[in-house]
Amino acid sequence: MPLKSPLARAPRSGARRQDRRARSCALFAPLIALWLAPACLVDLEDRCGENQHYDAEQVTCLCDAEYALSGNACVACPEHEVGSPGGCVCEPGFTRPEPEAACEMAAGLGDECQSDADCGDPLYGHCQLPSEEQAGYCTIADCSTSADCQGQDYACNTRNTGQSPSFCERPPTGLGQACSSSDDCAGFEAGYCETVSFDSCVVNDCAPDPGKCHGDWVCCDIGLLSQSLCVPPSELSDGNCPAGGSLVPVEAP
Amino acid sequence: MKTQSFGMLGALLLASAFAAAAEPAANTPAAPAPAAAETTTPSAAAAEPAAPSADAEPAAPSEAAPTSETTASAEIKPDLAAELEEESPGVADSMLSGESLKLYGFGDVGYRHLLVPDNSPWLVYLNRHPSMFVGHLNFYFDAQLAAKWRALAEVRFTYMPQGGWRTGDDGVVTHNDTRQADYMDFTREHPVNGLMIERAFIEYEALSFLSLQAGQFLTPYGIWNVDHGSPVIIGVSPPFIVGARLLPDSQVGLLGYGRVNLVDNLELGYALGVSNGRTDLIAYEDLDDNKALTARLALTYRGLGELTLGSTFYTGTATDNTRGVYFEDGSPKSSEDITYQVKERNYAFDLRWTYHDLNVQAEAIIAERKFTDAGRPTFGSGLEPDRRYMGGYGLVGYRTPLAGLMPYVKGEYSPDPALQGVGVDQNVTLLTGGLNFRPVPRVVLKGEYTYGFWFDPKPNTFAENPISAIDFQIAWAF
Repeated sequence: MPLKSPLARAPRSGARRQDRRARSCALFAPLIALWLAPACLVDLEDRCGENQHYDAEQVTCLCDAEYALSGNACVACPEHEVGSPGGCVCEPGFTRPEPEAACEMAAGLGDECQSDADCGDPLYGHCQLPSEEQAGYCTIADCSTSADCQGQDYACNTRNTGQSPSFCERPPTGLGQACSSSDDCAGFEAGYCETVSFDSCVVNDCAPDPGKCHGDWVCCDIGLLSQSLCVPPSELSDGNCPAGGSLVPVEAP
Repeated sequence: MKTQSFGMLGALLLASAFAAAAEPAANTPAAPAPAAAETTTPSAAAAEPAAPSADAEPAAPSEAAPTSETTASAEIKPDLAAELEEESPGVADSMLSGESLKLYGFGDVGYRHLLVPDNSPWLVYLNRHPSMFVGHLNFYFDAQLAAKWRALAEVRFTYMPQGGWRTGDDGVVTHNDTRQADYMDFTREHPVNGLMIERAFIEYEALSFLSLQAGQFLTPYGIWNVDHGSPVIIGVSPPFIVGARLLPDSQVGLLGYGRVNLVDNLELGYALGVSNGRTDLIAYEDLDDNKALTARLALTYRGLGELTLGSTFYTGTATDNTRGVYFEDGSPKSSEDITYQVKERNYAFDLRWTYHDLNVQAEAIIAERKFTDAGRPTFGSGLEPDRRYMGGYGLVGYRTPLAGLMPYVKGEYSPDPALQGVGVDQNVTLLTGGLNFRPVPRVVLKGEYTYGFWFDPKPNTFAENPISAIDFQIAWAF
């Protein structure tokens, strides 16, 4: 049995009924207002927090560019950093020397390095160390041909496959520099001025160690000059050295 | 003297409880009224427990089969009653009439067979093999403390947390193992199970049209959340949208409710509650300063069967946090770090029409959740967006003259926030057909087939895998 209110027990006269309805309305009004008062809480066009945007594909809120997730908020990334799902990361060309350090300009092609970690630019992420004592330089690893090497005069060295990956080897210092005599090439790794054809500094005396020629360059023993010189493979004609020279083979490591 | 009195009182209460349990048939009004909810339970009563209201006529204890305990109680009753009469006349009255504590409840046994491929991803969480189980074992402890004062507790006994499935950080789903060495059994291991307090409140009938509850009360929304006893609900399982808990199923706080007759055959039910909010994390502490508000209005028209239209509004903030100690000039201080905080504004609507043996009911919910900046949780590779959930169900059942069989059909279109964790953020469509059979008033047998699927499921998610299942249930009220 439902509870009977005093209202329900009132005698049924027209005036009383009217009074009852009025009281019902008085009761209804505030309660209905309770429903109508609150508007929508959620704006589906703006359903994420500060510095966030909605990704409908993933049905999630992602941080705006220049912001990254830190805990449960999107925080502005420091200079030279961009947002990523894993937090702020260095812009391309920048690297973080230590995990908590600020991003610095990454070592690029040919820049000095001690290990791969020093080569921030992913393109040139390999640190080629000539020896343990010497500082290395950043370059491209795993090249197939010199066309893979994007730096000027860098050439693909595939000879050291037993020790290290193929890599784009930097050119000897002074290579290609214009000269009229070897004095002009003094102090360079390319210390010989070839005046017959190129009038430029080249690496000479490679016959005892053909590996001295960088990249895919080869060593030609040219009797005419009484010199062995490093020449690019493009200078070979049907595999033969120019000027009647003989190709000095590289011994397998 | 007082201690002795309380001891005797305890004995009396126990004796009374035993007597009630010994003869359930004599305690019919105390049971969760299995038939009533299908046919005549007014929706305004939603604010009340499924148990009979305080003004229901309880059975006399003399109807219970006499036992040694009851005999002993009878012997000591007059003295104790006289003693209590001076301080607590209500208690004495109740004891004298044998109704100080009523113990009743319901239980159900089920069988579930999922009809899905063996490699269905749902079988990670749902029972892979056809299983039988005891589903609910809920006890009501109902005490009439004095005139207008009543206390009710509903406790569900459960096998959980033993055996509950949980996903580890490695994605492997394993079940809980709560077995403990039993010092009473040569330290052999026995599973330790738990209980859930569904509600516990004290109620004061302030006016004929207003009662007040303090404690943990069921959120007065819809039909199913309040009439949740398995013998009174028509289907085997609650609707998906109710299980999704878009509104909290219970709250701890204060609730006022009542009903008045407006005009002939038209009744207005209402409820207004203030609480800590959701009890999912902590039922006994509010983790923010925001108090939740619940308001309900329901109109019941009894001119053509019984038609109830109801609506509930809920607003609150759900918060989780961690706490820490820090030192300021050597002095210890405390701080809180909010890890989760969402504001909710939810609307629930319900309709129930019972006309002779026909039962039609439907519920719909709109739930909005807006996270605060500090409490927006991570989700996938980003953060959880604010959401608006909408869904509902409709059920039609007809109690036929054929042995009282009730065929029923149910259609649902429902969201479930819990499924977002497995990449399902679309509403599930569930179609159910079943039979409800009540061989005796206190026992109900049910069987149903359910097919669930997602419209336009997102590729490579659980939603690509429809679910179908056969469920059987025997439910009883005691």
